[in-house]
Amino acid sequence: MIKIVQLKISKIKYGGDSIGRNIRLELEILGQFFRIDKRVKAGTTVEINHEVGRFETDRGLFQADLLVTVVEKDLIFNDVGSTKGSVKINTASAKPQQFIFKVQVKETRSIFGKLWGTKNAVFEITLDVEESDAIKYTPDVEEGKGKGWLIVKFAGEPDKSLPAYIKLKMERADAKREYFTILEGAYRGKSASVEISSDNSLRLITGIKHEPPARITYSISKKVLTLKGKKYKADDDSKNPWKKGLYDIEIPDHPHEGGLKYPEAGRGTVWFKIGHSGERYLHPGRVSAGCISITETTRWMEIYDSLIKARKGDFMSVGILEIID
Amino acid sequence: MAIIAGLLYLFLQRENEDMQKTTSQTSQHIASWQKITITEAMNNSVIDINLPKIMIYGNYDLQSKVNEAITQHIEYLKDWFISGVTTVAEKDKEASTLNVDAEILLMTPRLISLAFTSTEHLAGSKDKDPKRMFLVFDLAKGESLKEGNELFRDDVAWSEAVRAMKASLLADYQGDPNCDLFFAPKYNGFVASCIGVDLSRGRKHLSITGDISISTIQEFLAPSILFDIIQ
Repeated sequence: MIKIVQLKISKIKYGGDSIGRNIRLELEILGQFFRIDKRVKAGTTVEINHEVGRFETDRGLFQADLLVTVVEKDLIFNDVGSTKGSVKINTASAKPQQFIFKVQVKETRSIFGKLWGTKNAVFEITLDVEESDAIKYTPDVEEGKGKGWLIVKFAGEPDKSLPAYIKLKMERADAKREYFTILEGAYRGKSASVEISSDNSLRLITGIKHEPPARITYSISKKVLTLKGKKYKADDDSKNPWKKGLYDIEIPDHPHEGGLKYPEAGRGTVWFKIGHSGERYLHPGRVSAGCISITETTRWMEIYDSLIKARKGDFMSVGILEIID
Repeated sequence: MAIIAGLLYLFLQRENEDMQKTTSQTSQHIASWQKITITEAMNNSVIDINLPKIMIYGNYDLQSKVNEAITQHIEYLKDWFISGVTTVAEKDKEASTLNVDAEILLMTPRLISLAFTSTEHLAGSKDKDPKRMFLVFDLAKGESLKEGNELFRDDVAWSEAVRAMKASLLADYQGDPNCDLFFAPKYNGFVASCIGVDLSRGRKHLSITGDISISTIQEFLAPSILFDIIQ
């Protein structure tokens, strides 16, 4: 399983002699460079709590060399000290892990080639390690006519399509594919994989923040759907009427190709199921055979954008629909 | 040089494109058939399309609109396949293939109804059942139908017909289908398919197709459409 190893500088302890207060700390690890300037008084400890780097690994032991440099900045003379070290992190361990590096900095003064200066400062740099499961998300696919769906491979089954922003736990990656477990939606708990792009970039994305659950109302008598204060013309089926009440709105389940008839809808094949049983959906369309059809099909993207990142917290729903008279 | 390269590319893309015999004719319309094969070496994929080219004498604009609608439908199927090839197919295995076969279900002075059956194989992945979708073009309005409600007396009749067709199509199906209904008129009836998933089989892909007898939907149809179909 792929883990994320996050390294954080938690504190700097300034021991030994005082050589000045203007401290610069530099840290280099696996090609990532971190620098911070801080005023620190000798004999004190300063809390930093700043991320130094974030690394993906699928190994039980994550090991990396690092270089720590401390500079006491003066107008004329900078005093510099550094140390090399390494971190060995057991990614299977649930316990918090900590590494301390000592950097000695000797005060140096020089005029016309003559050196003097006797003070020695010792800086203790504490690195905290946090490890967690690697989480990624499906992208909102822009290309082609099947917009809004990422087609993925299921082992031993035909391919399936996932909607945008589905949370995934990364299991492993090789030169060709990323392998993951789906954490929410219709295929929750299933394992799947996706090919890495032809330019070797990863297809799955990070940094997505799901939003609070959406609240929608639909008025049967007015044929109007309201979301975030905006009103949308809609239709339902009088021969298959809705009962007043609250319904969960599900994360989109699979492409509904009927939506291809509405290219102006943008993500016309992405429908949101209403309730957890039956076959009633919220979707763009001119008429209804039981669903709630948004007849203002050109405005479907407004609804899509409001719902697709929203989450109710049950791993299945994006929000709640209230049916009123 | 660029022109020559472009022509060469087109030649390689469309290795085998030929017009075949005319298969159907009414007083105004003729359909001829084109077989197109597109081979993409880079993605190790082959697309074979057998599609009609509709000719409407004396109305070039309408003819263009019908053929454009057919092209758009084919483009959708190609797009979806190429997306699958890009993200799912294992390129170093056997070739991924898409076959699309079209069939004219009905040609009247008012309607042209077509079925497209697509069969897809993505290398390294298990195959889905073939998918049958439809295109109904209203020659009077000069546009393809969206929901097909225009074929019925009114929207209420349409929704009742949809339920009746779905019930008829799934009558013998053992499982828990969650699928969307697609349909089109043909001579003396309708053809329908239901595409979605089977919830009782772990959301297995579902694609069922079948004929709908005229008696199932006759009461819901607009009189003029009924007249067209039973002619």
